[in-house]
Amino acid sequence: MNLRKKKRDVVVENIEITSLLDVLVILLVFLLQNFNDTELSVDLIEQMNIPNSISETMPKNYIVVQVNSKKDVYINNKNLGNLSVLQTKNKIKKILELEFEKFKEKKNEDFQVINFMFDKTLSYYEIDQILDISNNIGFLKYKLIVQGDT
Amino acid sequence: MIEKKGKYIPEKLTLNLVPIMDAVFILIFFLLFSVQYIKLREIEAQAPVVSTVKNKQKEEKHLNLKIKILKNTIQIFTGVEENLYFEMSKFEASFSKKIKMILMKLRRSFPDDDYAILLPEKTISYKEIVEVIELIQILPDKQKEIFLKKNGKDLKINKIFSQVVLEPLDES
Repeated sequence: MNLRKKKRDVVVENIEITSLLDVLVILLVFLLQNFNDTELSVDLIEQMNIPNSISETMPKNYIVVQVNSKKDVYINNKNLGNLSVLQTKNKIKKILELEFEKFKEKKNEDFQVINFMFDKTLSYYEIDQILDISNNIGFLKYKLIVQGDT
Repeated sequence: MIEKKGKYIPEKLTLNLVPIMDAVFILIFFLLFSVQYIKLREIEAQAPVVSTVKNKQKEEKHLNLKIKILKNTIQIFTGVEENLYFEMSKFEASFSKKIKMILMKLRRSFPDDDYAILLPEKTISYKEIVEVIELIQILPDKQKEIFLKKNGKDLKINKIFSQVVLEPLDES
């Protein structure tokens, strides 16, 4: 057929990739802007809205305790249950004790440091319960993780 | 340029973009995996620590700064006897500016005392606590450092009060 003959005649010499390069450059700039420059890598849990801050201090990788607006407690991304339940408090205590001993055995200088991520709507009454447990175990330096502006 | 019988014919040059495209693609994948849409930052606070105080230290004058966060006001107490030094409504227009000014004044008077004890009421939200900690720590006009006079020498500080102690709630 004539059509076949016509197809064979078409020779592609150069592919126009200018537009593709433009898109890639834009993508690159966007990704560079949102590059994670902190040592801490954490998965934000559901129903969690951390407060904003003008602080510029980068968080470091210590044990992370998260409490969302529903008062669900997570330690290192593991759900332990609701804060209002007594069993949850016992679970928190057990896990934090284990982590504290682990850090202490490693002779880590920062074994008393703990990261906290609290939902901004939580009251001090709820926060104090978590602080109290960690304080009794030996975590004396708190790092409150917030959302930075810069 | 190629010379052909005295006439210059421009040679067609094409840029080889394949290696740079490969590099850009690898970079994009690397960045995609490390992208974080929320910029995490930290604020330092401490748990209260019980310590014994020597008689000599007791005699020295200390700031002993305590800041109470109540529902509508903020109260600043100083001294061992916890005297009310300043009280202000949270709803006043220049609230944060005034509090910062007061704290700076106190820090200048007591350059050795670098801690403040925070006592929020149990209904106070975490957002508000963070805002007050920022007021206590971050220098006015977002300055990086300030020099204080201490025994005739300059003392560099990065925060108004760097050690913020979160006082536990009274169980009673």
